[in-house]
Amino acid sequence: MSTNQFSTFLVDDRLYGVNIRVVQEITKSMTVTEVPLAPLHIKGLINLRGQIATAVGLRELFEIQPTDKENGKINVVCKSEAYLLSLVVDEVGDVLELEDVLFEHTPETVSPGVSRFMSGVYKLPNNLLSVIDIQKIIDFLNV
Amino acid sequence: MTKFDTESALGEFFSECEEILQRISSLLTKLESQELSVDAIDSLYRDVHTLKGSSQLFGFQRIGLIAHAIEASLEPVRKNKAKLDRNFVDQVFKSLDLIDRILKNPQRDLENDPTLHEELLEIVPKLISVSNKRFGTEFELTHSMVPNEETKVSNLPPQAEKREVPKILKTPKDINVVGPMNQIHVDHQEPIFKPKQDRVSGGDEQQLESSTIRVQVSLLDKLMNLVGEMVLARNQVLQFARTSENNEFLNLTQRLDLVTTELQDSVMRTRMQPIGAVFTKFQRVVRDLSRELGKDIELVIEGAETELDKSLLEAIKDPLTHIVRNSCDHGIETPEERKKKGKNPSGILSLKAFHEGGHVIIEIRDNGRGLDPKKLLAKALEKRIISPEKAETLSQTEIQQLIFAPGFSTADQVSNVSGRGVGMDVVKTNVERVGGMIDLTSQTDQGTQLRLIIPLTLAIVPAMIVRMQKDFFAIPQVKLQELIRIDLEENGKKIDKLQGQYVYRLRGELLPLIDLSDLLKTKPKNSAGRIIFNIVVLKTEGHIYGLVVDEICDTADIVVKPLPQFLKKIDVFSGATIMGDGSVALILDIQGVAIHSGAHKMNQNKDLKSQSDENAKIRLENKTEYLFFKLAHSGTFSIPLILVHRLEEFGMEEMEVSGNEKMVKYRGSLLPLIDLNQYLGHKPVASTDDNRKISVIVVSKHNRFFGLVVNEILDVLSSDSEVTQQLKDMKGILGTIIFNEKQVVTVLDALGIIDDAMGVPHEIKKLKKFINTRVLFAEDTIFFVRQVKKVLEAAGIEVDHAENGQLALEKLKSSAPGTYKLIVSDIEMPKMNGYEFAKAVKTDPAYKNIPMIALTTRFNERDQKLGFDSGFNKYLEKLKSDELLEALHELLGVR
Repeated sequence: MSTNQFSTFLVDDRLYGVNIRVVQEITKSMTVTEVPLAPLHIKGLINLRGQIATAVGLRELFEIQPTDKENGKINVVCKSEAYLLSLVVDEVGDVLELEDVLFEHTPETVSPGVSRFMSGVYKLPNNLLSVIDIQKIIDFLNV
Repeated sequence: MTKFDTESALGEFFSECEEILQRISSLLTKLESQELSVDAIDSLYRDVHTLKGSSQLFGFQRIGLIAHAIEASLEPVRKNKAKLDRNFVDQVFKSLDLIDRILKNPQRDLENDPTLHEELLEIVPKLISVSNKRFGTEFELTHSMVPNEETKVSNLPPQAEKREVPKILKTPKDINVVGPMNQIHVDHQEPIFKPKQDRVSGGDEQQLESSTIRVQVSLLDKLMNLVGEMVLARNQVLQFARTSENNEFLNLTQRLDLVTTELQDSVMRTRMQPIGAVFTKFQRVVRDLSRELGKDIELVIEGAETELDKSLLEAIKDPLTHIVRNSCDHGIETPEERKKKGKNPSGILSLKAFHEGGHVIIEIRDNGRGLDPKKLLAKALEKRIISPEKAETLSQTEIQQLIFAPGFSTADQVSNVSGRGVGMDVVKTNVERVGGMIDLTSQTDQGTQLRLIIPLTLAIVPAMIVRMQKDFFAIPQVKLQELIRIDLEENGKKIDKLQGQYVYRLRGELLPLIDLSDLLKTKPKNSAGRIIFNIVVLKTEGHIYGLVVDEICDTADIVVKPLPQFLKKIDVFSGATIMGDGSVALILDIQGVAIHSGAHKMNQNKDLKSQSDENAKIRLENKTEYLFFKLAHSGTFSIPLILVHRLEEFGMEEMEVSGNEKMVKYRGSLLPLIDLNQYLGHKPVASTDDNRKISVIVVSKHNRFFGLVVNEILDVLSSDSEVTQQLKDMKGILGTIIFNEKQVVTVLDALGIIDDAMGVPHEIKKLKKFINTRVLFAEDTIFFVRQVKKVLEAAGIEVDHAENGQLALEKLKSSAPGTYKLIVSDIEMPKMNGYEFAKAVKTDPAYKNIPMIALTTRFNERDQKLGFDSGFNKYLEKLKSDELLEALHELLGVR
């Protein structure tokens, strides 16, 4: 039975995951250099040991109300082709190994603000995991 | 071999072939023109032989065959030391081209493309026959060799051919058996790999043997990145070391510092390549072109060893090729045309590269016909690049700049040589894309020179770091002109507002200001609240602007990191870099900032803009700046700002009185004071209160300073209204100007007042007056027109005035011969400046004997030299009437 591993995290108390293959590392909040004139969801640039990653705020990207506690945010650094993106999330969870049978396509009722970045949903025993497709985020940013 | 191995070996083969072909080309060109050297021929021979061997190894029979034919035909050259001739070299080149084409499309050879075979059948026999003709050799491999080879190759199925590598290896031997080729082969097989050749070789050929290895560029890039990180770590260690007192540790950090610096330098150098790699290609290009065009062009190469970054080298290759082709095609004339002009029938195209101040300068110069302004203008009008009205106002230099205008391709009117639909605008954009600049100078029948200024490397750029609030930004230094700090609380310092935009008067010219915080919208309109302006003056594609920042920090060599695609949309940043403390700073895109902030809008409606033209416009629109001040008398007074040296305040107690004159100590000498109230017959400035300060305008005249005492200095304002002269006859008054459409301000004749009050001896009176002398005077600023006219007329000279060089030239040409005994001209004028005007006069035989005097505020050595070079007999500073008169007497022989 084929499985996939996902690095999970929470944004606004909802569970999301990205395929662990694209995750480079997970770090605590880092010094961010803001990019003036950039859209709200671009939090800024981060120095990742000499490489520059773009911090993308998932709250802003998903059009969720900002929280008060900006501190203590966590960066899930993902690499896809030439892009180094750091997803700024509220909290990180475990790495889950999930069987393909649990997968389902994104239900149409999910708000388009989030569903456009999702590739589907995994049904967990007492929760649902929304799978974020990093490529969809890059495509969105590049439009 | 695995598939991967084969592929990478093939890749090696291709790049090796390319290198070999290039070397052969350059060697051939050299051999054709120079004395034969054994080393050169041997290395040529070796290259051909290697080409033959390796192409056969990889199954490229055709290439092997051609190489074999070249090798055979070269044999007599090597043996008898016979000189190569043009036809022969042509044939070899054609053969090389065929190899090149096969390499570009290797399938053709492997799949036995029949057209290829036809070409082969054509070229190989030709090569042999030319060689035979030239050297009178006896071998006849034409018939025996080609058909044999053909049958052998085409009988094999393509796959078999590829697979049977070991068999193919034997091919040379097979050919040997075929017949007459036999002897040749045996002959040259052995010396080629003789080890002693390495020892013998010297000069140019030696570099071919140098020990090098191939490295992937991506590996170098990675090294570069790692070194960049190491430099950062080093910086942090150094910072930490400052707080330490451990000697051992300090020594270690110092070593680390040294080694890191050297490492960084060396790694950077691994990406450097000599520009000769590109230059030598042009030998072939120029040679072919000159034959094709029936021209005689000599290519002179200097500084081929100059190194620059590989990626930059790639980037400038095409622009350079375009320029070289242009020069050959349009620049250099045919031998007949050149003879007619009295030039050497053989034209010279020179390529020169050298380092200068962190840049590589590449000069491409030809001694051809130069750019024809008339043709350029006609073309620009036809292509609607400029409007007819605009065309009228362009100066010579600006007309030349037209060739860089987008859409100004000469493609449709010229031969297929340079007209390939790529205009000079593309050249310019390509050069500017890598942070370079391009300069053009051209003189009719003297030639054209293009100057490319290229940064040494793309990866590391010298930059200026500026701060805006808490953020740091880097500005590439190539674009940096100067730094200015303005304190509004200092006297006379002022930032103006023009149509809602802030501008600063930089040496009399308007500099549009862009506030970085406004631009980045970090906070609302900031300039309004500033007292101290830190301005970074930046120049890009024809416009100059000042960027206002909170702080100008430091210069630093920064490692440029590209931004992700989606951030490039924000056009004001060109990249990012990591600062010494590990934080990220954005690099400003100077061109993007200009576009984003709308600074370019100032130029938007004008077609092609050069800054000088822009300045001329601004100067015309704001003719004169005036210093406004108050006197005891009601009303506002002013004098032209250009006369003002400084504004000072003195305490009453500093004032000294000698006889009737009042003066103060000023800069080690005494400054005579003239109380303007007193002079104009008003009440003098009250002197009862000893603590009061007096305001003094310091004016320089005849290299001496004079102080004009006023009640209060108000402001500097500019006015484009003319001085009306109703009051002119009153003592010390030049006239009035209207400011803000209602306020009437009296303009004082400061220089006249000084003469009058000081009783300065009028040296004019000592000099003989002129009679029947008419002078032509070109000047665009009304104030100076009046001033100079007054001086000249007082000396008995009749003055005809023209507003710029062009009008003056027209006036001169429409006048009867001998009307003007002398010409006086300003330098900076619209339409035609003083230099151009002087050149035009001095190159016209009818007028070249009229002496010319330049009057200018541009008074440095370079400008002066430019002035003399343009044909001015005297180069004088403005407002020095004595010097002017003396020069007049000298030039006109009146004493």
